[in-house]
Amino acid sequence: MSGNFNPTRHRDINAQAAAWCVRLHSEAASEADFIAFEQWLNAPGARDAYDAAELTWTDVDAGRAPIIAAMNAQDSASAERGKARVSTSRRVWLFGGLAAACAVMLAVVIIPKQPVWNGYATKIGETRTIALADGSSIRLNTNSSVRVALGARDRRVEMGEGEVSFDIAHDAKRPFIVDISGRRVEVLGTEFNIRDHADTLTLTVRRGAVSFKWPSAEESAPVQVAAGDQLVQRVGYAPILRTIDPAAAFSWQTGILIYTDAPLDEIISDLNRYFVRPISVQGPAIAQLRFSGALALGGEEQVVGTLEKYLPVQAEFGNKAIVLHAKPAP
Amino acid sequence: MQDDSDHEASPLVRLYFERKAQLTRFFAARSGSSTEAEDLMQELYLKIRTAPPTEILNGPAYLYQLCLRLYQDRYRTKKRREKRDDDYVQAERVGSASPDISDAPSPEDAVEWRLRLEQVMAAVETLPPQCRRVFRLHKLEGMDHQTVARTLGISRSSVEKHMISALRHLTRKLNSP
Repeated sequence: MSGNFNPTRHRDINAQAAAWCVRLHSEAASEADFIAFEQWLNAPGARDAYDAAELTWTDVDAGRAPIIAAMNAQDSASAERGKARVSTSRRVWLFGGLAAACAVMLAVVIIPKQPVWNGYATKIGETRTIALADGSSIRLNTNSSVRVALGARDRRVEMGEGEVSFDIAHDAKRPFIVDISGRRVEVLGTEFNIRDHADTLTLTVRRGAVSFKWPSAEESAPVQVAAGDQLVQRVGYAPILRTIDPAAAFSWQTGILIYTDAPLDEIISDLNRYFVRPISVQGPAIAQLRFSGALALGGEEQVVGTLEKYLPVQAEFGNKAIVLHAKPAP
Repeated sequence: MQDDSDHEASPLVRLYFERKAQLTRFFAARSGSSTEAEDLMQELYLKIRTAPPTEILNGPAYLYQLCLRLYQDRYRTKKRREKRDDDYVQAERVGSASPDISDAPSPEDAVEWRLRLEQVMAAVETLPPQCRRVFRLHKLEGMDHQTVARTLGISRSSVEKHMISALRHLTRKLNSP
């Protein structure tokens, strides 16, 4: 901690330091910004101010998972209790956050002999990132759940229906195994996305390679899926491999869904994973309309508005459902 | 692989050589030491030399961002080591065991880190609601500013303003006695 730093003495330089820090780490940073920043560093007190700002940011990065846990606990505590009992809810989330933090730290220091299973889940419309003690991180998309156990011999995940991205730290001695209702993905270190929705499992690999096993393949060799490959398996069928741009499968992480010539009913089925109020289409002709492009996952009405703009459809907004009709001819 | 001229260098490596003097100057300004700047340039080179080839949209700014992070990693490790050495001196270290200078956190570090984390969490709790939402989406969930702006229906510059006030607020809280 930079204890010799007194924020009240250099009020302005601290505001400047914070502004630089935010700008330089953002996607808007340009080379010119960095050159101007280099000049600014010569100002009296500038480097100390900037060091302090950066240190805050790196501490937040390092504590990302427990901080998210604490914020979630705080949100649900305040939602359940209302505003009346602030002091209690505060204690609850602080405890929850600290427990998570301790769990992370302990797991780094000693690997327990009996692996402990931890469960994580997201509600509809929610996403969540979990940093694991082995340096891996997993990210849950809307309405998904996993259980995780990091053991001395292997690292295990059990995944329920939903969608999860895995960025796995390499560890040759401890394979990372994901079980998805009878199917199994096994890796040493890689980045991949699994989506299990409407009886179809989709596995996309962005980095490295994974092996995939499904029940009827017990005796045959598992399928190897490499970076840039996508495996699609419908329940009861053998998997199909195809080559794709993996970025599209991971795009949900930035709040965007990307489609290339996708039928509207497939898009609607996707959107219904994110929103509580279901969307439906009227008539097979509309269901088969094709859409290419990106949908930003803002509010539901906003997303439906985008579809209305690009497809010949008109939405009817009800309290419990949204129905897409054919747009009347002008 | 032994000689760069034998192979088509990656765009990043080419940029590195184009801007070598400029980046060295940047490291010197950031670290306050030209010797350290030389070391950091070496480290940067190794990092981009072994990085998998990916398409980078804004190459120069990306290289500078790598510089920032590289320096920060080193700075943080150094701080931790200094703190640990202080603790050893204060405890009048006995025996001949050499100080642990590995990067793995010691149990003492774990306690220290837990306390720091507790402060960060308490500080996050005091952020105003919209500022807290922006902070969460950008800093914790990793959305870029543009996506946060679109998700919350606000402008990109408001996102930046919220992030600046979040950072100021947290830094102030963490450094007040």
